[in-house]
Amino acid sequence: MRQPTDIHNFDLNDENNKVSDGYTVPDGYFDNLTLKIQNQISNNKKGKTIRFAGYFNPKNIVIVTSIAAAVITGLLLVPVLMKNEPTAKQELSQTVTSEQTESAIFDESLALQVESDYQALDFENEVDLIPVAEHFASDTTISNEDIIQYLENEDLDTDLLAEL
Amino acid sequence: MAHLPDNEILKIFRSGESKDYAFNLLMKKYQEKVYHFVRRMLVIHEDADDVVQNVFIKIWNNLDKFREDSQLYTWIYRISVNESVTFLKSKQLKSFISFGDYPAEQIKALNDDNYFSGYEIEKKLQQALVKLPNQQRTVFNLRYFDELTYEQISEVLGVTTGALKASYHLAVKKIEKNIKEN
Repeated sequence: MRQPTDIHNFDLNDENNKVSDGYTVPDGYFDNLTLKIQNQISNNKKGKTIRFAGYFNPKNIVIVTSIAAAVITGLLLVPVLMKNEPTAKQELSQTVTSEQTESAIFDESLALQVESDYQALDFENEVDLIPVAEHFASDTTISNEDIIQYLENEDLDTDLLAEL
Repeated sequence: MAHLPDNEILKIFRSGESKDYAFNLLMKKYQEKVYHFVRRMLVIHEDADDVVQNVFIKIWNNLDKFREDSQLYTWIYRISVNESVTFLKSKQLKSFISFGDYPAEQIKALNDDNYFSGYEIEKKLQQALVKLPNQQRTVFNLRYFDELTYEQISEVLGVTTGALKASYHLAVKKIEKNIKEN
């Protein structure tokens, strides 16, 4: 390649006036390059065997097992979650049979009945909370004469009759 | 030293007994061509050295699978182009992320390079080359310095000869403009 003297007249399309790239290499570079590459290739061959053994170390086994367990658990939970929480669309799309309607009404009435039973219980509790004297006082339509007559009819306890 | 033809080297390699010897012959035959192509793409000797080693390791790992659908030297060039462009892209990306200017870094490296002994015009040519897009740079290097035909470059890059001619023409125009401006 001939070296052009005038940069301004430099023509890249001129096949007879080509320039080189100007790059050089350190002395003996290509001889060493061959050796370096051969060494790398032989190291890679050894490295492959070591790396293969390295896949089965305890740390890797634990990681892989944990990931597998998490994935399996997730897969098992998906149908359960889907079953427990049907979407609004799924609820709308369900057809209601007459048996289901009857069952629902029965359950509803049963619930009302149970509710009223509880209310009754509450009422009794409230009653129990009223003082005993007042409770009796509100129900004293029986006179002493009635008691005497009752005791006479029953022929009981003459001492008590005498006291009255 | 006279080199064996590619098909002879492949025959020795495939005989199985002398794989290392055959690969050694292949390296001796192609290492300078591969190095200079990669060096022109990457400018810095140390980068070129790393990439050239990767190229030959890839060749070693894949030579068994080479079915001679293409010429051996175009296959080697294709690996060299791929490795160089991959390296360039990673450098360009790193430079972009850190708000750097990769062509400027390459020009600076070229000015400080102990392994560059070109004349002023050669330096200006290399400085103009680093400013080209990767594809134009590749096409220009393969055509101008490696003196491959457009058909051979087409086989290396998998691009039509028409597109390659257009790419080369654009590259030449940009380089000439850059040299004249500087």
